[in-house]
Amino acid sequence: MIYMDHISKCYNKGEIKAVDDLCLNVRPGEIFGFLGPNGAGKTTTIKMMVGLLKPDSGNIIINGYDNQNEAIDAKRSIGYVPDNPEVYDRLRGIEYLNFLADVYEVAEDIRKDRIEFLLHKFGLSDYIYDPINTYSHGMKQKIVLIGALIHEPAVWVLDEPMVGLDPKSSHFLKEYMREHCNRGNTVFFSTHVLEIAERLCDRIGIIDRGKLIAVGTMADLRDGEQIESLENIFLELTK
Amino acid sequence: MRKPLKSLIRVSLKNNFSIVSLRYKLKHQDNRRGELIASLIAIAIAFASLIFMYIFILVGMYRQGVATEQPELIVAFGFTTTQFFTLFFGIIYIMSVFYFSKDFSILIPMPLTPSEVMLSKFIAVLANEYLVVLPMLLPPILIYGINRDVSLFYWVKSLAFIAFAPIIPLTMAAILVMVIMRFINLSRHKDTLTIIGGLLSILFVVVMSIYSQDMTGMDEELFLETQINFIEEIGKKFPPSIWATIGLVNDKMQGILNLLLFIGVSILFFMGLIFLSERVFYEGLLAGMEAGKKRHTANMRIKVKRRSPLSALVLREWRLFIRNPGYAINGLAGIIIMPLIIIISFSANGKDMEELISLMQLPGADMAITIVGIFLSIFTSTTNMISCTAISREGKDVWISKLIPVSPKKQVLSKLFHAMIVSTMGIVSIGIIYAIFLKLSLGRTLIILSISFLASLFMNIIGLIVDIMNPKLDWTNPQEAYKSNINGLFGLLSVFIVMGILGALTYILMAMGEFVIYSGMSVLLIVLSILSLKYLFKRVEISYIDD
Repeated sequence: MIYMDHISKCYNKGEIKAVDDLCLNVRPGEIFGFLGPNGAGKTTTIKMMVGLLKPDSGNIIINGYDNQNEAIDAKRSIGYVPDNPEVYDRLRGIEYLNFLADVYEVAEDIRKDRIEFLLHKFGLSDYIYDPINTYSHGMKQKIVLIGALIHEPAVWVLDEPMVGLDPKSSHFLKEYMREHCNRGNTVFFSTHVLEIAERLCDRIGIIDRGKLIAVGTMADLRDGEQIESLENIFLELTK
Repeated sequence: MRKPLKSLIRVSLKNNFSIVSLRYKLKHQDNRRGELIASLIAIAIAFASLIFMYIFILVGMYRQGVATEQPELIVAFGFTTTQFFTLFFGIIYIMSVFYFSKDFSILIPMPLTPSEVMLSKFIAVLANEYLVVLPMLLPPILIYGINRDVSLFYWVKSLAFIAFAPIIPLTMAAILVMVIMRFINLSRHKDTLTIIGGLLSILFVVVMSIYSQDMTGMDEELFLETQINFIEEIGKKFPPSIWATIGLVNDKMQGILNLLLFIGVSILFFMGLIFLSERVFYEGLLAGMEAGKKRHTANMRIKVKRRSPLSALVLREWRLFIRNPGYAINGLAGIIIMPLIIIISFSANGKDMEELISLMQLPGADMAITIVGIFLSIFTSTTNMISCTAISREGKDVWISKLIPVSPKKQVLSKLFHAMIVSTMGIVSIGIIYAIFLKLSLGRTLIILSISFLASLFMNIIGLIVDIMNPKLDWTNPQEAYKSNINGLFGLLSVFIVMGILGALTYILMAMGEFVIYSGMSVLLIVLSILSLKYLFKRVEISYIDD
């Protein structure tokens, strides 16, 4: 469902290699955790996947669509939550959601049901007619999440989605991610909370200094060492 | 001065002039270097032309002052206008810096006294004020000094007066704002305040235009008399201007006493500000930082209404524009000011109006009036800077536009529609008011409306091209997307260039008759619009997938 073929991205005229020849295949039905230290290239990779950055080289295929040549179809397949929930703070919550439903062309009756369901699950129903600039960080994170899921995309790309969420919402999101993948879809998410990655992900990728240094299930990463936690593996690999 | 206060002031000044980010841009971003140089050149040209006009007026005023044996008139004028400006705009500026800065959540928990925090903000405002005070005060001081062959003491004193000139009005503004904010919590009504500030500025421009209009209608003697009365009136209400004038031009004891009085009162005001800030600054500030009562919307039914992607995008543009007072005021100011000025000028001067109506009976007058109407309407509808800041205004939210599955072409079209809505408001308001006052026929009114519509279309496309090529997305205060955006300046420049081209075309086609002029203008604008739209669509495809 997500296929990255030798993608690279440099900054400062090639001085900084943010992502270096990264190859990755995330399959349908899979929750994929993307880990790495600060500045390792996680967000750059994610931004290239969703079309916010153009790779210097390589191709990215999302749900069968090349995200450069078939950008609109690829975008329709993605639900993206950025690491920082910056949204139109002069709009009311409901106006933001309706705007996204319009541009993703979600039918009126379907969007109503989805909005009501997600608002209820994230506990945001009471604030939906308030301007977004009155929202707390967590509430903004929730409205961005609902906006990303409103068109029921096949591929969820979530950059640090749990940051700022209360325990109830965080629990719901984790369950919802699993349900989504059980329907044959894909979730690709980055996190610094290794316990979540360990418990939730089918496979994990670790990126360091722009290079994908490890990919696999927890068992693959342990490499036969039964007692090792993901934290130990992470610390060992990113030394 | 305590060491932490010194560091705080240093940081505040660096932040104020964006020194760190400027240095970074110059060092690491080649494209930004070009932008900075272009900005500096554009600012220098704009600044030089303004100064030239100001000096021109001052020289005339000096001559009139000499004729009535009051050469110090321009010095008094310089001090009065400078201090009046500092006081008027200082109130708005201080309000924004003292109560709406985002760094208070870091500063308040620090081991600093309220007066120290206030002082760091005040000095940053003061540093900016000197950028206004110098060009306003230096020319009258120089003109007087050079022409009167003054002593060295005059030049030494002038330095002290320039240094102290903004202190009294700015401290007055700060004291006023702090007292208001202590008792009335206006922080929660930031948008309302911005609108009031904007409307006051519009009022200021309109009043100044009426005042200058009245001036031009008077004969020289009356003009001078009124000018003196004006200075005296202000002097009575704001004595520091008169102290500064006497202090500067008089080399005897009276001059020294006035100098000491001016500096002494400035220091006294400054000390008063420090004293007051220690008691009331944090109280107003903290009251404003308390979270406002949430407007719960529990049990409200979810309303959904499906729109096409294009109309959803246009609606988004309009909502984000109209709900941001800074954008709305700047974008709509022209539409409010220009018709007001026309109404006032045509209705106040009954005699002039009669003359104008009689001039309209002359052969060819209809054409001249139509052409003036076209240019007036073009100017009003295209100087709103909406299109040339359309991408920049998205700022950090631009990721949403890049993410949504709507083609860049359709997205930029929504921005063009939005700009055209506002331009059309300008065209209709100015065109109709102009036509009503000058009793224009329906045909001529329609010519004005349609040609200015075509011109707006072309200039809005150009504005979008300018902004798409190098959008200013990195801002923290939305005002920066409008006011500190070089694209706005380029947009305005393109308006003047196009108006110049249309003017030249009118001149060339003049002999061939009216029909040819309007047809020529229309054909040129249609061709230019088609060509520029094609380029815009091509350019936007690159920009939306590029970094």
